[in-house]
Amino acid sequence: MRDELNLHSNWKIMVLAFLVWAAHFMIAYGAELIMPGNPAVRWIALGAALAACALLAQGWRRVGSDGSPVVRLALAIAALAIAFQTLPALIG
Amino acid sequence: MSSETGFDHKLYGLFPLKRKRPDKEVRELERLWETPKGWKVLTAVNNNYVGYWYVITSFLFFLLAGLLALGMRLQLAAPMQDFMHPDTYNQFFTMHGTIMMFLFAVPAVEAIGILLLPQMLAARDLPFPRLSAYAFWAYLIGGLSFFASIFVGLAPDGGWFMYPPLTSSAFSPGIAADFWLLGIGFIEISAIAGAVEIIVGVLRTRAPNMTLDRMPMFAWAMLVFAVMIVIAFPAVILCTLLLEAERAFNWPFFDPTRGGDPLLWQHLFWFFGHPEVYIIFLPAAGLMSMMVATIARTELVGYRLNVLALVATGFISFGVWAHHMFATGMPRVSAGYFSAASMAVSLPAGIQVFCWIATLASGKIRWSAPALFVVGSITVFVMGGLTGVMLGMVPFDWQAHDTYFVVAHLHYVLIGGMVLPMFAAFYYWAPMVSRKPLSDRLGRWVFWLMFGGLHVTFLPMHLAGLMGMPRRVYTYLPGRGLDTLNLVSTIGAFVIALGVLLFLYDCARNFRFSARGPDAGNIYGGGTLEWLPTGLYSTRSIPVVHSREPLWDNPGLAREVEEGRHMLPNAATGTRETLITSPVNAEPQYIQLMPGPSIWPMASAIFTAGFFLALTVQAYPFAIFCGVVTLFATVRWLWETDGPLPVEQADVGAGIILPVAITGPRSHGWWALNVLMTVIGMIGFLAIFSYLYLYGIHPEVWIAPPPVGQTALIVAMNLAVLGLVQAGRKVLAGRAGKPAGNLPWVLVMAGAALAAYALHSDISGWLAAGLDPTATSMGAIVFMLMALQGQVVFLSLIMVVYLAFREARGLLTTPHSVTMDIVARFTGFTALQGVVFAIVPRLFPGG
Repeated sequence: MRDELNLHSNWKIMVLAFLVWAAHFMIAYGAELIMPGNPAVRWIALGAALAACALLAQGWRRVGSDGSPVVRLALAIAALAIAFQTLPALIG
Repeated sequence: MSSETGFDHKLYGLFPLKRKRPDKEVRELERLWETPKGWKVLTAVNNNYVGYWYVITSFLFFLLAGLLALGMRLQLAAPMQDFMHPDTYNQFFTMHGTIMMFLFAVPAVEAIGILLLPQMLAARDLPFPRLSAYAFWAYLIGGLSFFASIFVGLAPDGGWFMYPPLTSSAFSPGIAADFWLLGIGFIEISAIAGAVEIIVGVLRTRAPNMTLDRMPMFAWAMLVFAVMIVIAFPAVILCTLLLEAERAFNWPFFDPTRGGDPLLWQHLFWFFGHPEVYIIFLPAAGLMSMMVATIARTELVGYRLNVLALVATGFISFGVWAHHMFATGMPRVSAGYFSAASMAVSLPAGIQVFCWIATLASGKIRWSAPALFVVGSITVFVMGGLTGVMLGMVPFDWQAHDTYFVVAHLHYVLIGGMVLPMFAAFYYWAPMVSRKPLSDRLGRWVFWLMFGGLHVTFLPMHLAGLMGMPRRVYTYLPGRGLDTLNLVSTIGAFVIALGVLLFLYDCARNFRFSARGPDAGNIYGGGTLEWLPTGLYSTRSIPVVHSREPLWDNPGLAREVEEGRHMLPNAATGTRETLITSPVNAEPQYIQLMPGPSIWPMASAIFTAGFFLALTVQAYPFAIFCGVVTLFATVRWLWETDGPLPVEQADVGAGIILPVAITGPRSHGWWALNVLMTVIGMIGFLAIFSYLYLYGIHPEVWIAPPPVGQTALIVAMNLAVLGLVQAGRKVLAGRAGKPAGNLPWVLVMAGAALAAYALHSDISGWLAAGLDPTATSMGAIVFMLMALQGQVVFLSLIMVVYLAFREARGLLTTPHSVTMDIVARFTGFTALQGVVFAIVPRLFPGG
């Protein structure tokens, strides 16, 4: 049962995926709060998004090709939310 | 499956035992778990009673808030009515929102959790029954006192989110706003107490082998719910503290003329307020997931997807708070972040809805009252969710902000996401606690009246809002196209009321509470453990679980459990007890001794309420008296716990020997203290956020901090506290087999005293630097940090005195003591917080 929630690797990666989303949100919003209107804010958000996606990709690799689909979905939702959240920095 | 704790999983194969256990063991369980008779029943602490009272009380508040809504709808039924005075109308909408959100929605789901979880997890009770009792009594007394304010003209009138400057002393003189601030602060204590109980209960009292992957969906939902409370509720506690300090002591957190900012309130309030919506929705979603499976007579489609959706919602809901603030002129990019998160959160909510629909589609639906409520709630919730996505778009929100469109949206979400599932749950689980089930025929009428009534009430509000009708106005002009819409809404409100009235009639006619059985039983054919036969001690023996719906997979389980052929079939220690299992795989770890009935949790709650009420009316001597009695009552309630053990180990069946009560990271007390420290830590974290926020807005009022040398001394003293408490624990650990002696508590007391002195030095330093809490926002927030640190230092001092008393009475066990464990770790936490509060304000100098 590769999908079991009680496998440590599964629930840890699942929670980490959303923690990465939370960290990206806090960095992007925190930068805008401290330096409103500064162009550097957009670059910070973009850089944080790239770093976050790299971490999520690492998680994806760790899950492996025969890993849990639910954990993969968690990584995908986190990545989608991060991508969506980076849009305001690019076009806002 | 690999073992989490070293427990051999092959031992599960010994259950069910071959032979039935003797009946005298049942009689012993009945004797131990018996509830006092007559008025002493109020001292009961087990979940059958406390959970039931809790549910009834929360429903009472639902009715009271509903009556206020009817009053408002009468006033708005026609233009320019004078059914009620404008000021009364302001009080009505404030009380309606406050009661629904704080006194009904959250307590109701907590109540259902306290009632259902022990049975669902097959625990004898939740791990801290006296804490549950305290939470209930605090909620009942605090809630009724708060509601009574409307009869004496002291009800708050600033809206349920109480924005300053409207609620500052200048615009809201008198004590009505203080009633709200102190009342809600007090009631939140009750919610947090419940959350501690639920987190530890779900993680540590599950039936053996009920791994995380086999946990009922409601337990998952309650776990996420309680964790969210622990993260979100400190925000509302902090903001009520800040506003009360501004009103009572003139500390200008929200006064822009002295460096404050009213938007700080909005940030803090909505950091709590929006997750609150999911805090309300998720447990109801858990109930829905369980009912959907039974209604469709098939396993829930996408169990793990549902769990993922719960966890994802829990996280993402903390990134949406400022979408309530789009109209405040936020920077465009910031608004974009919150807009994006608001839309992203609909992904996991959508996953849940599709899982429910797929389950209903793949099974064979048996139509009944709960089934109607479940399908109705999916429909209504989706409609509310869609308007939520609309409001998540900034330009649309600018148009619809503070109009009746928002009123319609939030009622669709909350009624579809919580009220209808709760009524479904009433019909579905009533047979578990009543000798007779509720009437299915009447239930269908209740559903159609409520379902029809809510559309008649709230659909027109979308239109009224888009036509420009603002919320929170007591009347409107004729001839603006709003007359008919409002009249229809009023009629709809009374149709809903008729449905609720019919439900009350159904309860009066059919519901007969039965705490100790027999009850009407599993009439809908549910597959989870709460449908096992139970008494006040929950199930006779605690079953070993092998699937998510054990009753479907093993129809003989009820008989096996009743015959005592599973774990803990008797009172192994000769007292109230339950089995503590590991957090992930639910492997049996130890037996926890449970406290019995007690008057002290109720006494503590009464005097805590007295303390807050006295503060509200500024009767400070009486507040001090109540505070002292509260402390005494709390100490008395705790005194009977953590005494010398009747036995060190006990047999839980099939020759499996487990220890009785342990300390350290494996113990449930360790987990509870961690949760409590997270709550206090979150308050501190948000206070630091407030400091940085005010610094970012008004750096011109910041002054130079005290000298670096003094800061280093404060940090050094707090680090020394850590050394002292650790030394105290080490000394106690070295006293195995001997009396504890004085040294352990003396060391910890020295630590607490040093933490107090460090705080004194910190305060003196800022005063010497010329900081005045009433002059600027910097002074206010720095002294608030000191006040928060003062609270934990005070608690540490009380705890070490308690520790000393226990040692004097020979109740400090060696080599390990739960009391020592808790006091030492809490004092250590106090020191760490002292370090953070000393350093951070000095990192952002002004002047």
